[in-house]
Amino acid sequence: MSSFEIVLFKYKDFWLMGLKYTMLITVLSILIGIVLGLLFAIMRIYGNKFFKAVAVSYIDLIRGTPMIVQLFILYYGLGSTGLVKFTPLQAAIIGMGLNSGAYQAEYFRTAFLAIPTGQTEAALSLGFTRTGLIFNILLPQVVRIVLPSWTNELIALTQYSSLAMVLTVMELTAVSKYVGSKTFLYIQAFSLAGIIYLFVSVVLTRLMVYFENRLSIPGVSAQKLRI
Amino acid sequence: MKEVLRVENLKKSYHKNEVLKGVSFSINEGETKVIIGPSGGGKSTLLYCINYLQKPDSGEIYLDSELITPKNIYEARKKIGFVFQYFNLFMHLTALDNVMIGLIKVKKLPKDEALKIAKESLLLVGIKEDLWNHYPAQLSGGQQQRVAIARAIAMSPRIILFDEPTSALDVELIGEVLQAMKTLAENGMTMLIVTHELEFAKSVAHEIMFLESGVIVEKGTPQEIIEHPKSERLKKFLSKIAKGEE
Amino acid sequence: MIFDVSALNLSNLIYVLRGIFWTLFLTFVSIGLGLILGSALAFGEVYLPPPFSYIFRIIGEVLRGVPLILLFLILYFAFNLGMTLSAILGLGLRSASYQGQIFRSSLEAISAGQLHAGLSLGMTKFQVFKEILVPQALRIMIPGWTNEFITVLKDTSIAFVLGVMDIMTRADFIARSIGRYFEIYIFIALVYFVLVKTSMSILNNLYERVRIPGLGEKR
Ligand SMILES: Nc1ncnc2c1ncn2[C@@H]1O[C@H](COP(=O)(O)OP(=O)(O)OP(=O)(O)O)[C@@H](O)[C@H]1O
Ligand SMILES: [Mg+2]
Repeated sequence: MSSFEIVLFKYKDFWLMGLKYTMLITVLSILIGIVLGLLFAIMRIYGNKFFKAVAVSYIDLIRGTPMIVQLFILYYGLGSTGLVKFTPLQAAIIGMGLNSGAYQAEYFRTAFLAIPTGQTEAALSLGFTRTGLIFNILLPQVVRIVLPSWTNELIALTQYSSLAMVLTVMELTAVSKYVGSKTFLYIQAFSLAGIIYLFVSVVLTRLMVYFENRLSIPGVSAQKLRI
Repeated sequence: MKEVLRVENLKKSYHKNEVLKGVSFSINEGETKVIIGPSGGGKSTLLYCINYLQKPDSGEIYLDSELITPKNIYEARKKIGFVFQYFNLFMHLTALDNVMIGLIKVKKLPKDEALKIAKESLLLVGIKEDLWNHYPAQLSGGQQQRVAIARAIAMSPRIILFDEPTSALDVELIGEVLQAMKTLAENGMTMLIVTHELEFAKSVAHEIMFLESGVIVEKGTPQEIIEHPKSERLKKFLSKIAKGEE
Repeated sequence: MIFDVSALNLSNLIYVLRGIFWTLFLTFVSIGLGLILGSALAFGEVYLPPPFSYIFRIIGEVLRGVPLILLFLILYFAFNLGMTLSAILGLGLRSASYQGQIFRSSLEAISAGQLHAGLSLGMTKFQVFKEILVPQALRIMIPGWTNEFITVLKDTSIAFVLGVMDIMTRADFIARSIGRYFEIYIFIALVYFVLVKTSMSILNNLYERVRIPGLGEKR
């Protein structure tokens, strides 16, 4: 067996586990991020003074601090207070979801603001309520506008999910380090991890482009609206 | 009369697309010549080849009887002004600095002298002092194009080439640019102008050349070309212009 | 007690804050390295003939496609570089791949017409580069570059896995030794927040000062 094969086949189950955790963290955290992002964006654009202030501070604080610190506060910090005790995996998913929410709030906000105000006026003049306006008229367009930034966000989260390693989650990077230390074939183990990450990025990008095309409506896209 | 520019048998292809198929003409000092012709006929390519912004495939270009070659092109360009369809002002410089940069960096004039020339040039095209410190993005299209003309004339070129200088402008801004060009013509500037403004051509051009598919099909006085076109292609082109299709 | 302020006594704070040197050192050196390598990457991608330009592009894609931690681990374990060097190179290479993109898109935002206009005045190619391309590209770059600076500043905390004694690592030491995690981590979150906000306002200020109306905007 070549050294590469040893790294791959002897530790196949580890790699699969790593990939599983990496994907699990990425997908769940982006979903949490989407919900939070939408919520904060709406609070920031349409909320009263209080909600606006809450949204702005949240977005600012999250974007102004490193993700690893956020994860440590959530896992070690909160854990040590006895308030809530997350498992490492839960902490990683929730922490990254909270983090992603702040970034996505900004994507959503830009998208909302990119839609010409005439449509808002038209909808209100038809008798739509504010909620009706947001969910029936604006959101279907907003989703299509933010789709490309979700691709970037997914890839960023795939990479940042490696931080879960410091919370002892056995995701891909942790697996590669483990395999490397067991076999002393560090170069092979890390290269394999790198290849898997690149592969995942490519697949995710393709998938998102497919969705973008499926959902596209002429004239409603980030490009057309120049953002 | 002294000859300023002579173009002889100029040819240029892009890959297999022969855009200029042997173009020859000359311009004397103080003359204004106008080139008209359908889109894709090679008008821009001709102008770009004259100062080697595009390299001609063959043919000769003489400026004041001196052959232009890749070796002396930088010297030649100082003497050939160019006014572009889309103005091409330097976006990081004010109107005044746009006019001064060539004087300072290329002609190496001292600053005060450059400033004096720049101001005169701007005033000549009707750009008043209140606009001198505006950046291009803060000017209207007509103002931008007039600054671009000032940038060209400040270099005291032997000839200025204009590539459809008004075609990117809103109708109401065309007049001010044509007026500036008319002033130059009256001051005796030698000019080669690609334009479809026939009224303007009539009033300033000594000769109009009709360039189609890379050849000069017909040339003559404005009277001859506009009122009494000979070739069918020119007649067709003129009627298209009259209908506003070109 | 949930939040014990006494954990944040002066000697603990000073111990953590001394890490600011390493945090800023890593940030500046990596950004600088990224700037140099990034412009090389951008030029390689744009100006080199095909087989070579692809290589530069692939290097960029790979650097953007793998996690920073993995880069650190490769440099540290596979190439046996020391921890400081691994941290600098990891952050710097990755930043190069992003700064290259920023640089490239800034150059592309400058219309070819302006270069023609420069040449038509009789400028040499070098003069066009120096007088027209560079002053515009540098200005257009600043907002994207500000984001990149902030990203690198925050990502220096990931050098924690290598053990560089930056504020993150020092905070972790103290937190473990006194057994108070919440207080210490909240504190360094604030420290990072202040660093981020300060650099942002300095860079935005710089941008406002050199900003030119309409520059880099599409027609
Ligand atoms: N850089 C280039 N590369 C390849 N082909 C070109 C290039 N520039 C021009 N062409 C082609 O050369 C031909 C002549 O173009 P040119 O721009 O000179 O025409 P024109 O007479 O100025 O037209 P218009 O009135 O539209 O400005 C066209 O078919 C055009 O597609
Ligand atoms: Mg043209």
